[in-house]
Amino acid sequence: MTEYEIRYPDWRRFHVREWWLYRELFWFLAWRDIKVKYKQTLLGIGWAILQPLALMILFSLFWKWVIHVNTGVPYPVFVYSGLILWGLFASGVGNASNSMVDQANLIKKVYFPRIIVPTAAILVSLLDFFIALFLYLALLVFYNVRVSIPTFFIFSAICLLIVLVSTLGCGLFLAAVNIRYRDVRHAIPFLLQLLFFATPVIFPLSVVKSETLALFLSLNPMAAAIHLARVAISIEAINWQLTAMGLASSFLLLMIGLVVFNRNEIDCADIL
Amino acid sequence: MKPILEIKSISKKYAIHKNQPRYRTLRDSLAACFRDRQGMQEFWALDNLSFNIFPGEKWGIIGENGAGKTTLLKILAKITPPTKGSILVRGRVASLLEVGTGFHPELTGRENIFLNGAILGLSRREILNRFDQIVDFAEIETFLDTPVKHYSTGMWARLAFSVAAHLDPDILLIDEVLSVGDADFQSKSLGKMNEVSRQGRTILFVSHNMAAVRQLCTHCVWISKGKIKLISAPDEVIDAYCSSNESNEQGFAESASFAHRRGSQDVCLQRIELRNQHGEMTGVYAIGDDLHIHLFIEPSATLKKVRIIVSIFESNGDCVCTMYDNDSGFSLRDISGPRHVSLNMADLRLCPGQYRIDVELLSEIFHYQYDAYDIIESCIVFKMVNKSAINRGLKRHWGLLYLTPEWTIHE
Repeated sequence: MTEYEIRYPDWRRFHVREWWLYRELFWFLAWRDIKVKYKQTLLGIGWAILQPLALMILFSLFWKWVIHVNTGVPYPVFVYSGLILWGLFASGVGNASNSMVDQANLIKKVYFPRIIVPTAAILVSLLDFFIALFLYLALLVFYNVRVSIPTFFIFSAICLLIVLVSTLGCGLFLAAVNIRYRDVRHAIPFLLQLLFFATPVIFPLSVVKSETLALFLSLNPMAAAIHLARVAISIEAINWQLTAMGLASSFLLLMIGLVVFNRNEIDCADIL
Repeated sequence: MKPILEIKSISKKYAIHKNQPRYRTLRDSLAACFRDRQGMQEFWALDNLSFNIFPGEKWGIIGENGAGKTTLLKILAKITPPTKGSILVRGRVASLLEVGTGFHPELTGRENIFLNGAILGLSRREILNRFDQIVDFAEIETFLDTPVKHYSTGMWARLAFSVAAHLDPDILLIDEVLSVGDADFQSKSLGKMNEVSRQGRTILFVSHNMAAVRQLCTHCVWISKGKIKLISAPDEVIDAYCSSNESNEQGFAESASFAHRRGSQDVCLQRIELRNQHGEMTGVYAIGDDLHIHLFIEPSATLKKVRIIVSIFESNGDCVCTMYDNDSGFSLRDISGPRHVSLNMADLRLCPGQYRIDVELLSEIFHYQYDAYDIIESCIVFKMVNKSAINRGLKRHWGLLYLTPEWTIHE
């Protein structure tokens, strides 16, 4: 017989075992969101490819006619690698931060560990990412980019780790803040846009000449992640300092996100 | 035997913002830093509640609107935490706070069964085991693979209830869900509830339907303003609740005390008074008395016409009558200032008990469409008593009306 006590929870405690017990609901919610997302759309999952593809074409034209810096590989490959990672981060953070408000009806009526909601929202973005990844692999083949398989897998894995950890961190933090302050909903598209240009997505970090600016940019874990993606296809030499900083800052973000979320989820059913 | 639920000094505090939505914008918060916290009001929805529930008991939870009944269920369902105190739970809790939670219109019936089951705490295997029963109960076999957005309201409700009804918990929390669906399905639902209760499961049932509480429950608790007023057998508690007359013997109520109100407020009911044949304001009437209902109405704009509907409900929640102004050939036109309207009912023949009055002020009804100006549920209550002239004990379940027709023998 299950026996437990209901009382005001201690926000410093993380109920990891309970998260595990509710893993099935986590999958169900993610499955529902994925299923519903492309219902009644003509292109279906084609949208997952179309968005980064269109941006890639746009930036490639811009790059060809306006600026020109040697990127080591054809520019479309270069920019696409950054665009899909940024896409994962941006849509993951966006989905997660609105998730608690969107699921208010559910949260106000049923109990489950609330952390499931923003986490499942990120999973939807992850699926889109994997679909867009196919085009990336096709581009590598098409442009005949030479990669060493072990290098590719090792650095891609670290890269993805950093992206997911920082997406989760930012997403949890913003989802928690959004419970109390609906400003978040309006601020996010705008903040992401700003951050996009402060991240070396469409340009290599090497074009930044100022040391201080480069250091500032490298505080952003996405800078490290995108750098690693380009290390994986051997067009940038590994920068260990940037990688270490990326790992450290992404996990710091995750810790902050977890704590803030845990603190704010307690009364969320009363506030939402 | 150990109690299945040990409720120990539970309190729940809400901070309410005066005239503010419950969520804030950052600007509001920043502004609040500089103001003192006058705008905040503490409100104890539950105040130091303690009682134990043993396995197999069926508890009815009754009380006025806003007494804290639903808050108690929400705490038991872990949706919101108690501010103070604790509850020891020995068993699996499932709640029917609202059926159909998490249903998605784009998903098919089959998909929604799995999703809803998962949300309500069933594992995939448990849902698979019950799948056929759920589908049978909901009678939706042919539409199993149709998105629920194409379902009729009735089908939707049946499916939602049947998932919830097959949860198999040790403790079931119910908050007035019996009103779902058509009459046939309702009786099926009641049957399911009785079946669940016969299996020795524990039920907590929040309701305004006193008849259902009497029928279903073995114990009853009456909560008033967040505190326990009385715990005992259902008949005793319900009788005490129904005859409670804290503020209703005075025979009037004012706008400020209307708790359940909606509408555009283009016209407002400011005050309601109940008077007897002697013109005395009172909330207690004997059978055969006259009841005069006085309505004081105030418009905030000039309106061509206001429809008035007055309904009387008995305390079990059943409607006794609904009186439309135009049924009596009355109508209220061209209103620009306050109006005083009265309805006079002579020779009131309701059986002893407590009754409530609802008032609706609407625009002209045209093709079933109208604007709601002011709709107030339970604006006032009154009590019917058995004065000595009638020398037998009258119980409400013997009927609603006490009639003394003319009896004649025909040779």
